[in-house]
Amino acid sequence: MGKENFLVGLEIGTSKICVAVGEADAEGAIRILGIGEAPSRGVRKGEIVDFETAHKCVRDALAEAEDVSDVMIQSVYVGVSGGHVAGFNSRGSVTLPPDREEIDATDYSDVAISARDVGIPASNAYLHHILQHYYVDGQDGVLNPIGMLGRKLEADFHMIHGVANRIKNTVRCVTEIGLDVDEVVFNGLASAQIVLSQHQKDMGAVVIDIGGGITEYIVYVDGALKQSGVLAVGGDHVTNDISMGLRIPMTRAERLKIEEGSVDLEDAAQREPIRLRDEYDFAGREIDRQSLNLIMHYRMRELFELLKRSFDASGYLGMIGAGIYITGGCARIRGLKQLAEEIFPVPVHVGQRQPVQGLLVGADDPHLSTAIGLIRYGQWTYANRPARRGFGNWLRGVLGLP
Amino acid sequence: MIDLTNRRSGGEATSSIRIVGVGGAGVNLLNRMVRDGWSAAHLLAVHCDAEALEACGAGGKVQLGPTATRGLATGGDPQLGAEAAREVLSELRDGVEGNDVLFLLAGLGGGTGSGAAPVIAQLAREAGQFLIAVVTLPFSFEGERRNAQALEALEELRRQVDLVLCFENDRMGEGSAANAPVQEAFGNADGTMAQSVQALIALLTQRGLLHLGYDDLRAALSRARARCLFGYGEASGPNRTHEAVVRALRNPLMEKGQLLKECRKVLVSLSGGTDLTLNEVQLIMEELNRHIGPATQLLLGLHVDPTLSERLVLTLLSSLPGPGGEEEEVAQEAARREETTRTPSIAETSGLPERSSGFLKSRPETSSEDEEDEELPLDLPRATAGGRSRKGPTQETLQFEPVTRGRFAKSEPTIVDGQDLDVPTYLRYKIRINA
Repeated sequence: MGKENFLVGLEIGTSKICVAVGEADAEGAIRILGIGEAPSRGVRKGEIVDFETAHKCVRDALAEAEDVSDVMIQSVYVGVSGGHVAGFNSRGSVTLPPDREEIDATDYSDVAISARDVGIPASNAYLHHILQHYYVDGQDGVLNPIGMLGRKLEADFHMIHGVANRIKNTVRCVTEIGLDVDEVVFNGLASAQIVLSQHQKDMGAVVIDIGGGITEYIVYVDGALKQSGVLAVGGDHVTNDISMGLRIPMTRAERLKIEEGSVDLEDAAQREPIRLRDEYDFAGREIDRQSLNLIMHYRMRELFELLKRSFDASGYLGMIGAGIYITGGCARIRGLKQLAEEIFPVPVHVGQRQPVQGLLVGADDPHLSTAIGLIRYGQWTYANRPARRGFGNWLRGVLGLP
Repeated sequence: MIDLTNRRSGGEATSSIRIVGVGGAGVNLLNRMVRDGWSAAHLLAVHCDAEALEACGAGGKVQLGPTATRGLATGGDPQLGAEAAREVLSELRDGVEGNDVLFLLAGLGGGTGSGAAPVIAQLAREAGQFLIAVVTLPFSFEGERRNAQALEALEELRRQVDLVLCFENDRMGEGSAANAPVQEAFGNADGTMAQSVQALIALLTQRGLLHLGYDDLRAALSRARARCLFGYGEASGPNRTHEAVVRALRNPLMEKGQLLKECRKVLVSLSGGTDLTLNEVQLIMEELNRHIGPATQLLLGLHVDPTLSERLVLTLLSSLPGPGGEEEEVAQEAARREETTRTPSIAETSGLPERSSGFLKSRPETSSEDEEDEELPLDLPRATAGGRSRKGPTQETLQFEPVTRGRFAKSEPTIVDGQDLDVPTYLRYKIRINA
């Protein structure tokens, strides 16, 4: 089988670049062979702004992953994100020719094409069209229409699209290294594949992936992807707020956020102030813990409020049975679960993930969700189409994904 | 009443307006307006050239100099133009009388425009109308003589009219690409002028939440030997505040907003649908504040027009002093200031930079209505309009820097519901931090 055995997920994130190398076994379980990480530069809000620098960082991360996993990486699943990515639902419809009443494979692909025939800006391209439901002659609940008799085949899809050139930038970053791109996947969709089990998707679940520069969200109801989107706010914003509010440099603000920060306001009041230490470990100025937490609290609260508003607008929040799953690097912020539970009327789980084999020590962090999710995504699409296809028609293969 | 139904303004005009195009350039501009769907009834074409006049789509026409030029053009002689106009004084008088506002469109430098326009201006002035001249100065390659004629006519006009909006042809070309067909370049220039007339009409006729009157217009535009700045931006969608500003500054006469720094007063007219929020107004004013100099004053006019639905229309008007115009202007302004007995604005009494006064003044009128409509995204105290604009005595507890985006200063802003999410949340919600 050679390289086909290995699946590699690459996420070019705002704060770090992650490469996960995995292997899918016959039972469908995946085993992680190695993780490569490099701090990211030249990426803002999930999009490449400095191509050369980002390019170099990607190389570093790939080299580390090859080293750790002892696999020669030849092709990768690439995650993309950015404020330009958006999702919507669309229904496609085809009427069968009068001389035929059995639905066949051409109708099956035509209905997807028809669903894509809605106005998105000319500069945009579709990343995914993911099947929700089929209807044959208006009849609901059809699982596989091929071979059924009918006059009209309809299907609901969730479409995800983004600005074509920005997506191509990410792809180019990989192809210039000399790697093949198996598929381009929306980061939020990838994360959801590893965070949620099929059961959770059926019950209704939301995944919120709060990354360094950007937050992606995905809503599953009745096992179908119903809503997706991006909010260009992430951990960078928290750090920036701290840096400005407490008047300390960005690097120190970042450390303070990770080491001391929390969004819990009650806890902070009782604890002693934080003493900043300079590089020689001399005690510097004192930082009021309450101020730090206030800044973080309001940023995250606002983020959740904005997300809740878009969930409220679509009305899916009432159909969420399993709850909200928060992942991504910012899932490590202390007190996030309580804050999210205050705002969302459903159970909140932070940092949970489906079990994967072979994860090394320390690799269990929520910030790896996208990279590992890309492997799961790859496994799904790989399983659903035996013939290996090139990058050129990657758009077509997504149909079978739940 | 002027019919602007298929224009953007849409609102009921309450005063009557007449637009008079004089000479070749003026008539061309009228033709452009007719093509754009302006109501012909308010347009009056005045020209010596019978053929051009015949082809014009304006509602009213006056043929100049039936004996002086016998239906031909003046051949670039202003004296002949003036003479031709005097021959038909009574017809012209009929044409210009009985309106509240009269626009005079002319290309200066030629015979009819330079010669007849001042004559018509004088007639209109005698009839007691508010008179706005929208004129172009010739390209510099048209020669010294033509330029001299144009400047002379401009001086003449300035004495007669209330307001002069002067576009330089040399600058109008900057809006078009170097390889653009000449027809397109001229079309763009006409389009800019038509937009400016339309914007002025909207300003004068629409009763806005914050109304800009003749006096504001005059303050922003009437400068000795001034160069006119005009910007127009229309945008919709989630990022509409930012886009409207960018588009307005992209206009040919703006030089990407660089010139705004040198202006003393900039007239900002903002129209939006019923969904226009106070926050968006604030965002736009803040964004503009980044483009202006410390001594610049923004005069804000605000207008809600339900027909705009989701669109936002931003018009910027100002003028730059020409060579030698500055001192005269300062003197004029000082004199005006003494005359008027207006009460000093908050900004002036508190020693704030003057430019924020336009905005601070706006608060009482808009806040009551707009804030009720807005959903508060959080159960938090809302940042008020004055709080963010400038550091100063109005805020005792919080010492804000001017709107700061820190690390994101150079990246594309993330604007949701009119809020710039790159600005720290605690600043936007006025949370007190002990730093």
